[in-house]
Amino acid sequence: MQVLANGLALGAIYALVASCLLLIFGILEIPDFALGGRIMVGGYAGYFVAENLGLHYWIAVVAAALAAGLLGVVSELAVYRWLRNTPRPLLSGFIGALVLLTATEITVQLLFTADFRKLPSPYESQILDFAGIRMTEQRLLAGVVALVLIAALHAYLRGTRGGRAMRATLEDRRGAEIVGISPAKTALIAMLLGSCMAGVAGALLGPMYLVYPTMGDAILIKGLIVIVLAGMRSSLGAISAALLLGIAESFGASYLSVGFSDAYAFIFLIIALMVRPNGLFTKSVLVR
Amino acid sequence: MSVMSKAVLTRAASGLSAGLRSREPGRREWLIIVPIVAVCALLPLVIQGRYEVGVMTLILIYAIAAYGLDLVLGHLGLVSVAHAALLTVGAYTLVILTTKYGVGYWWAALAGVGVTTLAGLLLAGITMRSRGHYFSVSSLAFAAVTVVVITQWTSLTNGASGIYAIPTPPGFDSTISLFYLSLIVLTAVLVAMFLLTRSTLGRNLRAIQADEVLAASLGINVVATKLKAFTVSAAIVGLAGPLFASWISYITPSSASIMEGFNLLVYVIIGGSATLAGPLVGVALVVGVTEAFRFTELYQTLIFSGIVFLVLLFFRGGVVGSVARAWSRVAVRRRGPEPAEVPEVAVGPGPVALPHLSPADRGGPAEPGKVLFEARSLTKKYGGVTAVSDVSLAAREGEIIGVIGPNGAGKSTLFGLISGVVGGWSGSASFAGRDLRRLAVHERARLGIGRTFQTNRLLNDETVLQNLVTAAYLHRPARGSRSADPDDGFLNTILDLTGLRAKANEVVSGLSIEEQKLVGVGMALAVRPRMLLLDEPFAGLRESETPRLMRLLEWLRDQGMVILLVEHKMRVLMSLCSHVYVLDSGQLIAEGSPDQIVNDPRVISAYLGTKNA
Repeated sequence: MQVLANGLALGAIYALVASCLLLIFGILEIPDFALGGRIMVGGYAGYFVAENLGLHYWIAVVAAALAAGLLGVVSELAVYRWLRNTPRPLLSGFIGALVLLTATEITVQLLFTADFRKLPSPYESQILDFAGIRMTEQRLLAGVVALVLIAALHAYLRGTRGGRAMRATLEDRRGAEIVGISPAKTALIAMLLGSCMAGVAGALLGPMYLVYPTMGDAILIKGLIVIVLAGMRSSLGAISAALLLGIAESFGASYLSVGFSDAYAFIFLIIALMVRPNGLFTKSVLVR
Repeated sequence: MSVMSKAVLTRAASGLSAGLRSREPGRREWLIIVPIVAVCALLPLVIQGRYEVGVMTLILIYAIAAYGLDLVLGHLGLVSVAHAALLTVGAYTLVILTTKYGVGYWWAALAGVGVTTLAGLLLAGITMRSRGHYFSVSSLAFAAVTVVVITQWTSLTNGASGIYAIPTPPGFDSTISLFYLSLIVLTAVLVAMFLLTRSTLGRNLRAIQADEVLAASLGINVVATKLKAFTVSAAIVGLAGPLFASWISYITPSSASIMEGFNLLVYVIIGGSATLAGPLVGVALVVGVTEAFRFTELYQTLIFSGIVFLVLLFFRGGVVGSVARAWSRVAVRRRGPEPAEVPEVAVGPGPVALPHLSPADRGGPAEPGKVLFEARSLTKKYGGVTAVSDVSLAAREGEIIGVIGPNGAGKSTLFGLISGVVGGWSGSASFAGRDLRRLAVHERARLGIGRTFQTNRLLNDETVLQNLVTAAYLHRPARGSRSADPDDGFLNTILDLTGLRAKANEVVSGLSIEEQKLVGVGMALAVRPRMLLLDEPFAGLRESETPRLMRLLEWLRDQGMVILLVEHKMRVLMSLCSHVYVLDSGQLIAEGSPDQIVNDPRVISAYLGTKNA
């Protein structure tokens, strides 16, 4: 039970990152590797607000969202928008995203060194004991906040005018354009929302797994694996795959080896690609 | 500059630009390899410092790996971040075998190449069946996992602290000798890359990169070809692995990281992807500038990743591609346009015998009237929509069969089912006595099913002749056919039949829609089909051109070919077809001779609506 609970909390964060990736991929058609950089920037923003300014953890989380969101908007305006108009947008977008990721990581490393930092959180030291399951408040909080954000994203996509425009673009870009939905504006909103949530993910991870320049890489790869497993389109599939991966890693870390736990996601991917070369949940369509 | 060397340079540059235009290096591109290798070989005479020679050696070693990467990046369009990890796998194999198990250097190096190749085969075997972003994400994961495994498997790899004192190849222990050893390997790789781009494999890779569906319909086994290319790519990187280990003499897991993999991509893209000189130029430029300005590795990556962004936006083809483009522009201004290369097309026998029936494995000569293709109760559902419902049809040799119906009737889906592009159907279909159910698209093409597409699918950047050569892939002799010359007068015949002879050396994207349609038909013919599926070939054709294509189809029919024709032009159908099937909303609503069909009340109501509707 203990292991299962840990896995679910971890899986919820994977699901959050996967939802961001899926939203951005759906609108921009770019697998946004640089999201890993924005998770990390969120972690750093949170760290400086909480540690250097001594403000409360929740303010740090908001600052993380704002910093990552800003970086996301800049990325879209300065890089992605231009690459979409090149002759081979798929290839260019891909490499452009890699460029952004490495550039973000290196800039942060040059500015703040590669030292590991701990984002202070009042919830990290509190341990909850519920029906024999022991867990830090921070871990529980991270899982819950992740799930709430995913739910909020879906509420936005279903319930608001802007969200419906975005869903239309996800379904059929050309069609949405024809009925007057601006693709540039939609892309900007998607990047803003996705990046803000990625920043929050960074601030949630900071107290548990420390803050350092490449902190986003592992979780980014897992988020990508999750959306690949889900066939790049299905958000429900992505969330299930994320929870499954979190649980699998948690069990692997307890019963097999902690060091190899980052490799389990890859094994997951290998098996899935062998069984279903085009993803596990390819039938369903994103955000219904 | 002597006249002689000037002439060589000019020819080399035009060879380069020719390579850019068609992405198929001409014979003259040989001339690029010679000066490259010569300059490299002479450099140590000018630059003699131990450190400097060491840097140049590293450039050569990275260049070997960069060529391996470009084989998949430039020729398949796959962005791989895994190639630095593959390099590291080869390096670690050598290091572990020599330092831990006392294996001789050359055997260990050989094992390094072998293990790298196997790792590449494994990665490709898992990922090549899937499309789009799956591969790149997998390559990212592969790099990350390689780092994890090497770091964690401490008993074998010494973990994160790495391994010291890596031996140099016996007999090559001085800095300068390692330089020349690397140069020899690089030269071999250059020659291999040159031959490969001109080979059938290279041509098939270009077809796959341009359009996988088209490639499969021409009989190219897409998955196997990609697998082969990726494995060769890994093997080339494997050559660099042991050299890299000996050069660096101290190795840690971080050489497999995503950042290192990204650096390899940066070299290739800046130098010029899919050009013969590009990867070497890219490595030399990036590593050279880094050394000249004493950047740390972090600054190197930061600065050059910014440059990659600019290359993507403004300098497609990288340094080499852009220089070649500028050079050919200057050359054109000075001398006027180069005379179009005279096609090496011998005057063929003319349209007397299209030898599509000759190979014995195609089931012997045509017997008019024999049922070649038969389908029973074909059904295809997309979710709740039934696109094709319970359709049965048969086609005999020497017949033109029409398939008509209003838009959305399921005609194109039906063609997709028969050619194999659309899967997941029920019912049965057989061709020349073979059950089609389990056959992939390329296998059906090999059996003798050729097709055109409703919206043209061609290799747009290549010439008409190159398109046809690629399409004739199945029927080229297995070996020794590297040239783009049409063989055995067969392509000649197709050029005559389609009336494209005058356009043979023009790039397809510059042709009119009408001519492109004819190229499509020509490509389908080059597969030497026994059955031809034509999806609206007459749409967009001028009135004056229509009779010409009609005559061609009639002639093909008289040769014993089966033609399934989807068409809206009733006059054409009436005069060509012996039998017509009418589809409406996925259902077969009528069949019979053209005369019966046009008078059938169900057909009339499907097209015009009933009075009461």
